Amino acid sequence: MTGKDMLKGIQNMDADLIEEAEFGTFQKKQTGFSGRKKLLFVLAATLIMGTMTAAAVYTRWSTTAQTRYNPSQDVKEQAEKSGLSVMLEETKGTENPNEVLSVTDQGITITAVQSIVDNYQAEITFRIEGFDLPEDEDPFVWPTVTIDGDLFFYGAQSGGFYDGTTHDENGKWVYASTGEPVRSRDDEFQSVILDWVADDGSMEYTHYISFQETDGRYMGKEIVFTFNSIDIQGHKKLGPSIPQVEGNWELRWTLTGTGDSISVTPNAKIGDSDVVLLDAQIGQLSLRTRYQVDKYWEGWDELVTLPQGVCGVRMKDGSEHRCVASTYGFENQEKMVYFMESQMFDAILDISQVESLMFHKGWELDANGKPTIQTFYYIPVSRK
Amino acid sequence: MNDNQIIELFFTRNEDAIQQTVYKYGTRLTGLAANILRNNEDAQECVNDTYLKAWDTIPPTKPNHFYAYLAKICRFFAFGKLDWKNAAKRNAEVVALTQEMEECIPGSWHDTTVDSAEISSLVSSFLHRQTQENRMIFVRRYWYGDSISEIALRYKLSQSNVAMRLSRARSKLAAYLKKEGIHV
Repeated sequence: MTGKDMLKGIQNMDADLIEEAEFGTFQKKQTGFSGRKKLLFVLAATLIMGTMTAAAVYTRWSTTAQTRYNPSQDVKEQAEKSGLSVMLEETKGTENPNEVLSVTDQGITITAVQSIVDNYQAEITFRIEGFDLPEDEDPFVWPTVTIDGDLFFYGAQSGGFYDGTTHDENGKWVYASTGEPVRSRDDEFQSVILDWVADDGSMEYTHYISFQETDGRYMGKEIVFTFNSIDIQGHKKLGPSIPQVEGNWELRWTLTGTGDSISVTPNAKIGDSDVVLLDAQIGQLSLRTRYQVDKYWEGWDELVTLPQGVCGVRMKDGSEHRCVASTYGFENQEKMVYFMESQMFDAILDISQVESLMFHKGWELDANGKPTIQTFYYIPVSRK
Repeated sequence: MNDNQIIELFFTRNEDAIQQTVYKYGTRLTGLAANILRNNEDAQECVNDTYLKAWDTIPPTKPNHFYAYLAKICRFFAFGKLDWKNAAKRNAEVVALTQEMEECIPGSWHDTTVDSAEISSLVSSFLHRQTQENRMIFVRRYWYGDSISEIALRYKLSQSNVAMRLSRARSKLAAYLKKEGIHV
């Protein structure tokens, strides 16, 4: 073995290490309050907010969640009643009187707006106000997150700004505000023009977390987000992003969410494969499914999921919603029991309306033999 | 658009998937390939191959860490394209990297073939035992191929500090690999 072999051999290093080195930043050393120049905590929520009626609460989701999930009023109501979705400013202090949901530093205010949390994952949306995004630039931030003081509570983290776009019913990429197709600049890259900044000058950033442990242990613990700079995305290879304003925005509150789900035990073969769907827990946003396989699935060494695994949910009204696996592997390799934890792409489910689970069957091919439309096997949900 | 939404575009065979991937990660992937190849044309070719590979493999693959998935493909192509015999002429950094990696190899490994999965697993396990700062510096240097000056600039450290941390990390890794051994 040589240095060259070693250099090439670390190719399959853990994905979280690769992403940490690309997106992570060093935590600033805290030297006490005096080191936090111009730091001002803004207590944004008021008691008046807490007295608002439930009907009003259900209408004000973050733009990010509203655009992504497009939830009906009923689904919003269920999500808030179950505790899946929390409009953070409106529940301030109910779980933790020391929480800080909005901080202003360097003239920029970062406010925690909404959390969507279950046992498997969290999506936390922040509003950033007072930052002037330079023209033709894309924003970037990467907060350091701890839960109960621990940095290692996650399987994966990612984040992104609301870019003002969505896909219409024909799958076209359009601006959410107008429905017009997304435009490109007339430059050598044909770079697209995104709508990062809302009419009021604010931007929304959402941080996504897949939890390391999925037994709900993080609920009721303090979560802390520390932002040390607001950046724009880099243009060259030297450095991933270019800091624009450095400061200290530290927000903290008690993480709450829901572990509500329904359990089903179909114990049914998936299509013509030898894989059996043993059972499933179906939550509003996440699914956990278990499979009996007849042989070792080698793909999981390469971060590839079991091809027969669940890929969506069909509702009683005929609508279908896709999901993607976030964590998977052998729960018990000796007994060949494989599991997948999956996240809904673009829907929060009314779990009383789930009709069946969807599994990849094949593709309809076009004249050139290229796959066009995915087809599915369906396994009906029969309640335990 | 978050990673899962982009993956959904791949799954629905919507060609915006490539455009969104280029938009979100194109610069980073080009940087990674250019670090290894030090040649912009070759780097861009690698990145284009990466998009094609992603298009061909998603679905059925559903990558959990989308960026890492793309970056691994890109790094694989970049090393495949690297002309090792002439690397010294074009890319002194790669030569330095191989020499530094050589320091981490226990003596008993020199006559052995160790498979990539095992090396990756051992090195990952080692890195999880290090401080966040030191493991990020290590990964930037040996996985992404950053120069010491690039790492110093990225993390606002002096070059000597980076070099010292890397040197200590290499010594620790050599000791760790010697202790853990390999399973042949």
